[in-house]
Amino acid sequence: MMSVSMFPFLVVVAALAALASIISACAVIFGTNPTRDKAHNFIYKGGLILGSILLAASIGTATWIFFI
Amino acid sequence: MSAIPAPAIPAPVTNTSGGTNHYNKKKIGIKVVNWLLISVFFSLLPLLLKQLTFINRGMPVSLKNIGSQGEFFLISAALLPVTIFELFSSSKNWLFAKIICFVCCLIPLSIVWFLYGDMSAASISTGHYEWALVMSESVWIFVMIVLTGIGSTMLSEV
Repeated sequence: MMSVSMFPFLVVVAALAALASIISACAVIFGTNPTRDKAHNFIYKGGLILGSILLAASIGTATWIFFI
Repeated sequence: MSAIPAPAIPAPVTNTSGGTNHYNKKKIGIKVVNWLLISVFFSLLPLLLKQLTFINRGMPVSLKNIGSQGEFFLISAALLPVTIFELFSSSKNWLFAKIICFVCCLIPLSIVWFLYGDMSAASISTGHYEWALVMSESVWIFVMIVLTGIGSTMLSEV
């Protein structure tokens, strides 16, 4: 069960989620344009993949903390 | 008499994930700044007034008085649902990124729910808890929630 004593882990979980959120938003905003050239495509797909990985890490850490 | 040809209207460019590119980065920036100035700042006003009341009554101003009873948890719990609502009410473009943002909002939100429950139950049942830990933790979680909200607010505009 989560409690206040797990402070550092919970902040890490929240930080990973915040990072995933901002990276996904930036991937959409800066990685898309009408021409869909290679660089923008790379930013878009890379950002979404990185966001997904960070989100998975956050969920994994939260689940681990929850069952400790 | 020949008919005047209608001017050609450019079709919106559709991407592979179904989104169009007719959004404005300046508009997104303005929305984020508005969210920070209005939602976040206004939600922090009760704590500021609390401090002013302490000063008026001649009580010492300390970190313990600001948010040691989990006030930042409550503010955080009220901030994120608004951005989730905005995310839901926006268009269906870039759905995958929006789903990521939605789950990212749910994680710190559920942490806040659990922590506030743990802290308030401990303070009522035992009457003693580590206010310094609660204070620092709630502030850090609040900062992370504001960052998560910035991402969601950005996406709710596209």
